[in-house]
Amino acid sequence: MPVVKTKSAVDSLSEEAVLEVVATDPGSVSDIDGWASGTDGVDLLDQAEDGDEFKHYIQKTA
Amino acid sequence: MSADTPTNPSDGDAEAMTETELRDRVEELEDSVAQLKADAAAGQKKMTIIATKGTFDMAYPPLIPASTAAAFGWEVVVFHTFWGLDILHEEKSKNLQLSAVGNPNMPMPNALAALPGMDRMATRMMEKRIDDNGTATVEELIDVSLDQGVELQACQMTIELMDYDDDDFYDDVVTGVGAATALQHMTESDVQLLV
Repeated sequence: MPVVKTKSAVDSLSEEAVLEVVATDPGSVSDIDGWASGTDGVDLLDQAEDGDEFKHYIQKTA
Repeated sequence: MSADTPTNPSDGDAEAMTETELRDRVEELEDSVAQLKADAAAGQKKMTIIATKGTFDMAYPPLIPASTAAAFGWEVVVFHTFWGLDILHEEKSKNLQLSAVGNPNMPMPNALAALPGMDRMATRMMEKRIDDNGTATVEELIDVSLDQGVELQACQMTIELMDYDDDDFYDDVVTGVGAATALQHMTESDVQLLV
């Protein structure tokens, strides 16, 4: 559940901090993108595929 | 009524209003539409899920969207009724069973699946898959849902019917609610699902 765990982790971040999410779920690419665009105060900076892992970089903007 | 008002002269109601009145009315309506749109955009989305099934495989369909919607900041209520109540039952939720019978996707004929112990075997197989795949367990999903602010409700009528006790459920599960409460949440919700 990459989205749910990302949300929890973002909640504990301070403003401007960037979170790196490492997921094994290929669906996380679309899911985290959708979550970030539908959520205020977060900015999806980058998404990258690294072997079997999918990395997402999310900045807390507010 | 002025000559240039493009209304049907036979329309009694329209005739009663002057052009200025009509313009004022249109402006008034435009304002209220804009206000409604602003409210809808700013307003929190709401979802109500009715969970009625208590087999291992049917515990996931209500809990995955519930926890995900909560991550989107939605206000989520899951009303657990009948067998769906077992998902919230602390002891039973750890022993939910998958039925080997009646599922055409099971890699065994029904005649074989009906033999004693087959449900348990099918459940073990599924549990192993979930473990291997790193998929969340039912218990983890409940914890994370409650943590995200999902309101998990246990139908009071079913609690009494099944002879359960309030203490049988996970902490923070809401008891003492019935169909009327669920209906009220459904009316206020943007999304309503029956699982």
